[in-house]
Amino acid sequence: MEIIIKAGNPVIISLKGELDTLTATDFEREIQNVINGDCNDVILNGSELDYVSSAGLRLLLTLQKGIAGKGGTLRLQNIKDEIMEIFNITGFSSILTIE
Amino acid sequence: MFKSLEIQNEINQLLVLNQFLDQAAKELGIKERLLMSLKLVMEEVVANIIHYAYPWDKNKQINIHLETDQTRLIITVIDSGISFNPTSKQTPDISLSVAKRPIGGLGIFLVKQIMNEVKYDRIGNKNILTMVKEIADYA
Repeated sequence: MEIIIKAGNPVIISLKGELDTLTATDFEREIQNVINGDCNDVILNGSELDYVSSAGLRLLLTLQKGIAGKGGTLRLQNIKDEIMEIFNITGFSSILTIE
Repeated sequence: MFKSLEIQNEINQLLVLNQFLDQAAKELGIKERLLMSLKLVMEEVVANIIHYAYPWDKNKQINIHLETDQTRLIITVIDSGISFNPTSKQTPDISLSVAKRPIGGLGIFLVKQIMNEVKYDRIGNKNILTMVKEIADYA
């Protein structure tokens, strides 16, 4: 998986490939930097994100809680239909802001 | 049609599992949308076994069988680790707000949502998880 973080306001995180048990550790490190950073407006671009397992869902929830905890907002954009299906099954579609 | 795979209880073996599923999908004509759900299910089940079934041992086997008939895909996952029934885990409350929602605990829930049947048996020293998916809808 490739993680591209574009600093600024908003911070834009682009994920490419598969967010699963094997790649979750890398993403966890990156999201801690974003949560600890100054910017409160975060966009996660999923246009090239092909797969999310429960290890990935756990981190999306961590990111959402971390950003909301400092009064910021996380928005997910360009999420593919297959991944939306997983968000719907797990109820994530109602707790994440998906545009 | 029957295919099987044997892997060890090591997390990088998930890559071997994914290759096996890609190959099986090609041979069985499984569509992309179903393949993604299957990968998710198998990652949850097998990662769980790798993490917890053999707390003290390496190089232990996990066996995976795929079987299809006209309408169903039957997946069996077998390990000889400590007795564990994943279907007995409590269902998470997915209606909770983000603040109250616990992080984690979604794996087996996802498996149950995606598959049509999930059944656990303990036979001898083996954990046997059998999962069935109706595939007619995805043809």
